[in-house]
Amino acid sequence: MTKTKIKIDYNKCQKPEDCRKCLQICSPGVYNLVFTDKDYHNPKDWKIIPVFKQLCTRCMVCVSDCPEKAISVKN
Amino acid sequence: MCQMCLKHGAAGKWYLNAKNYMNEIYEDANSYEYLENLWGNLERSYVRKVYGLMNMSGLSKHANTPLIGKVLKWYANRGFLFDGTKKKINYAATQGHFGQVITINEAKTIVTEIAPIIAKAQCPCKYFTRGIKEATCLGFTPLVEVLNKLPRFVPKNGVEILNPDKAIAFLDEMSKKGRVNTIWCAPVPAIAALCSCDAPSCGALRLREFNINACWKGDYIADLDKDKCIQCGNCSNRCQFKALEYREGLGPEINLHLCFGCGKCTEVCEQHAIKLIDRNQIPETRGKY
Repeated sequence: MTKTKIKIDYNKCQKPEDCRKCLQICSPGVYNLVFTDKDYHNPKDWKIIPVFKQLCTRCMVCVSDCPEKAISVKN
Repeated sequence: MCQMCLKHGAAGKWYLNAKNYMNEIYEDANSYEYLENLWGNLERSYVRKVYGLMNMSGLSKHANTPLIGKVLKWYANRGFLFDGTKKKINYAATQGHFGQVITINEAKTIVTEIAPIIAKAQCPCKYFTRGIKEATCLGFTPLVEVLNKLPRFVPKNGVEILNPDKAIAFLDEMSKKGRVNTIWCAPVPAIAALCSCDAPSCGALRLREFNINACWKGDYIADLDKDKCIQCGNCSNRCQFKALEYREGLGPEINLHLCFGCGKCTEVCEQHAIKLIDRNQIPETRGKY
């Protein structure tokens, strides 16, 4: 299995709940919108994490379509 | 007969046993508290299932290493069948949250004859995997009560109690879109929800790819009669599990190992060439849920 490194710059990705573009555009569904803090009832504070890195096909659609240019994918 | 039907089925299918929908069972299994914690934390428990024991990022890459992977999968799989009436259940590890694929006819029987109170809830999986807000889950008694405490799962128009006719219309509408019906325990054996899932966006069906079996395959398997098939191609885009392969000139072909027995391909077949048969009839798939 080839290793894929997906990084999201959280300084640039400020409002994941409003945008959610990478969730909808990724055909294998690598990204998930998940909470990390204790206050979990408010989705505004949640983060987008690349959970299923193994499924990434490296089509680079998320890199080019992210409006904030926050995602980087490396082999 | 499967393990669940033996224990909770009363000589039938466990999800058609009216006892599992009774208030006494919900109270015995502590469903109200369990659901509140589970649905409130569903995203985190789901990611934990992938990452491994704790939320150590990067542990998921060990899912296929020989020994460590086996231990991780054993740990992730072991809790789903825990009985909520006998054991204390760890909701953070989604213990007791067991599900199975059912056919549309069974779903309609449940909605009309067995389930006492039904209401729509927003699907948590579709939201955190795809960012779609859609009310596709039908919740039963405990879920309807717990929904008021979990505002993010309340659909747009508020909690609405459905009568059987409305619920059937809703199931038909979902079936047209090709959604797979799944039934869910919270915890075993109390039944709390009937979902209409989409294969890549449903959390449990996605975890099947990693051999984590929260959602079992259905009790049936699709069987094709090649003599009746006229190769119309209606079934070509119905399978969500890559089990039905349609080739131009050759017609459909069904892979028994991948078939979940949801019956979506049989619903569109006008010639009745595809039928559902019992999974346990075929030695190859006997007992493999």
